[in-house]
Amino acid sequence: MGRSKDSVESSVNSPESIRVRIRFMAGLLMLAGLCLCGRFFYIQVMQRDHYLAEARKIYTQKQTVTGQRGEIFDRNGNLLVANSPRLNVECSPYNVQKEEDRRRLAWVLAQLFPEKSYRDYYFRLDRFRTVTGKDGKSVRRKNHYFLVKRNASLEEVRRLKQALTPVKKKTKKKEKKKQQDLRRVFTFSPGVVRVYPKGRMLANLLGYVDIENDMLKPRNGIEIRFNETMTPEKKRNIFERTPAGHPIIFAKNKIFQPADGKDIFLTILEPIQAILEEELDAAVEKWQPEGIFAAIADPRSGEILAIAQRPTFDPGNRATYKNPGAVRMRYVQDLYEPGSLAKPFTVLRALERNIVKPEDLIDCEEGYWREKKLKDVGSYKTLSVSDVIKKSSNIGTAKIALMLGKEEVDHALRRFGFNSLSGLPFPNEQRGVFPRPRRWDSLTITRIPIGYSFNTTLLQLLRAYCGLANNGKLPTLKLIYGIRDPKTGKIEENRNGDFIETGADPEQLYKVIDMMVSVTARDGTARRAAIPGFQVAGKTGTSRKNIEAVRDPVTGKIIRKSGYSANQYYTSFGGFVPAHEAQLVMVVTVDNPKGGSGGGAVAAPIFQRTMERALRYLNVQPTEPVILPRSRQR
Amino acid sequence: MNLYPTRSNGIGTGSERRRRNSDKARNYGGFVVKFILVIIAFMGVLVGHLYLRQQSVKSAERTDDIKKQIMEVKAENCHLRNSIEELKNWSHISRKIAQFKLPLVQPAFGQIISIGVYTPEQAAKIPLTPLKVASSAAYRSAGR
Repeated sequence: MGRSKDSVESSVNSPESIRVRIRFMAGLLMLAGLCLCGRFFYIQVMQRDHYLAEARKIYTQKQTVTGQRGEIFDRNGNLLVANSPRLNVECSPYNVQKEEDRRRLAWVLAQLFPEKSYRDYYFRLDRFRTVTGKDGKSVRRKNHYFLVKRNASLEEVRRLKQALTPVKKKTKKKEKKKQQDLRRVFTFSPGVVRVYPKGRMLANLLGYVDIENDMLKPRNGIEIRFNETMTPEKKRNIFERTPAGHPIIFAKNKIFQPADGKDIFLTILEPIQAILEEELDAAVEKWQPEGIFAAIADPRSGEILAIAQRPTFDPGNRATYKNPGAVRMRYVQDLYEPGSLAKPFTVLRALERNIVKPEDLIDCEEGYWREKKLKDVGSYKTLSVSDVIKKSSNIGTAKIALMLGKEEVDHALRRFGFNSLSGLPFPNEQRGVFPRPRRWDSLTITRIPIGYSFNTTLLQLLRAYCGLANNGKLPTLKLIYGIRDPKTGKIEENRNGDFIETGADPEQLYKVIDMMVSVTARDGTARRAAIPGFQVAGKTGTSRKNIEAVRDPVTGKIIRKSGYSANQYYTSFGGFVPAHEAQLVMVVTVDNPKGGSGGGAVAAPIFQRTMERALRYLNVQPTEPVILPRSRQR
Repeated sequence: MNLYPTRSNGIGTGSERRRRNSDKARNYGGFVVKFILVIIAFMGVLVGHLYLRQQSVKSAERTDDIKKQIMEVKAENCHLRNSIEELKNWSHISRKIAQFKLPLVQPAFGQIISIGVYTPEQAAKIPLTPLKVASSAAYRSAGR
């Protein structure tokens, strides 16, 4: 037995046996390797496309990314319209597994976002939702999406996370885990809202944006006009992701960094804009008009430094959008008869054609010209041409126009840009109605020079007065100072500063400006427009409102005929300062002020206060000795 | 190395045969060891590769988290910038002046002095004679 045992041991440990076993193991390993290689080959080569497609379905993510919409600044880089990053709070109610968690969540959400009640949140956090299938039957499906709050602020999101953070004190591990799960049911996708840090300032010009299908849709003003420039790039990123959603860096990803939209720099100077708006608010309080609109420009460049209107709206408060008169740009769209603001242009042409001289006397019919059915505010027997402007005589101006002739009167106004676009980038700007001389009747030639029988916008008036102030060179109004490319950070300046030669004789223009300076003198119609230390050239204007017929809603009969109203007016003032070296031009129009009708009483003080403050801001030095009026002397 | 000797080479004395057998066993053992080493090396490379990939995924995640943090900081920065602009708004300032009853008066003409910080190149372009009337070009360049 012992021998046989020894013989077995010796045969097991014999080199032959070891060799066999080694061979067997090597063969086995090689076989296993071959099998593995075969399997690899099958999976990696034969079934490659299938498995690759299956895998890509799981880990490839497609994501549309956009840059930031361009922002709007004033000339000096003060922010007027900005983007504010927000987060959309989304939730997957299906993952809220316990009833008590659902209640807790509903309670937390109702506390943080009180737009909806606890009850609403509770029902929306149902794990299943009932939908109507194709066959019309109700089907219960897993509820994986609930938009809790669109564009929540970062602070709100922080508070939400804080509220759902598990409490550390003596909570069991299991409970803690459940609470952590609650936080995980939320996802926060990036959103953005447009904010207007200056509130109502410049609201009509800037416009506003709505959100439509998660996209910003511009609705008005610069926002819509320069939408293409400000719209950022949109790119579609395709990348392979980890289970946590992060891109795998060594994969073949297509990840782009979309460019932001371009920033717009306006020619507006925010401090002057603020001054103008403040003065308009004060005027609204005093005169309670249906509207006021005003603009200030630099006549040497045509750049608009401030532009405002009342009523207006607050872009940050949608409730103020309801009044269409407050939302639309009245200074671009509203047409009205300018009244006496048109007089200097006719007188200038008459001086140029040597038909009259400033000292020539005109018979003013003692205030009423029966033949042409024309009235003056005062009853003057005769007035010199200078005084026709100073006293704003309709009869005197009409007589000068009759001496000048239809074609010349027409040319006198058209060459200063009436009935043409101002150059601002607004497609809805109105040209106004300005009939050709062949269509004028016998009275029209006496009406057009005094600012009736044609209509205009505030911007046309502003541009025409810029032409007067700028030695007869009519500027194209500019509102865009430059556009900044976010890639380079450089501002590409707007060089479109064209000037149109009106052909006005500078010598005669100087005389007309002197006449306009006398308007703001003590015995002029606009003494309240005078600014101590400066020569102010200006002209008042008052025109009756042309109103539509009013019908009885029941009978349909006309209660009030259409035509000029007896008690509703547009009162305006247009002027520039310093008179012979103008740096600022301003036109202000008040629509139907209560308790006052004349441009000298209503519009001129607005001009005076605004311009005085604006001149101080720009540090324009006085050209005359500063003599304060008695009311302002201490 | 001849691992499979011919039959003629295997004929010999007992001691020689044993020596040859042990040589063969040694050779086979060497082959197996080498094979195993190659497999281990291959596995090592594979594990190393997987480890590096894992690390790169982790670092990508960290990068992503940092990017998110940067985004948050940027958003906060944006929010603060908007707040500053709101506080700089004149209507806000005038409200505060009224609230604190600050006895502010407007400066007279000539009391306003603009101070600009210029680079040496910009400063070289400024004329030494004082300007009597500030032109709009001057305030434009000062504002930039």
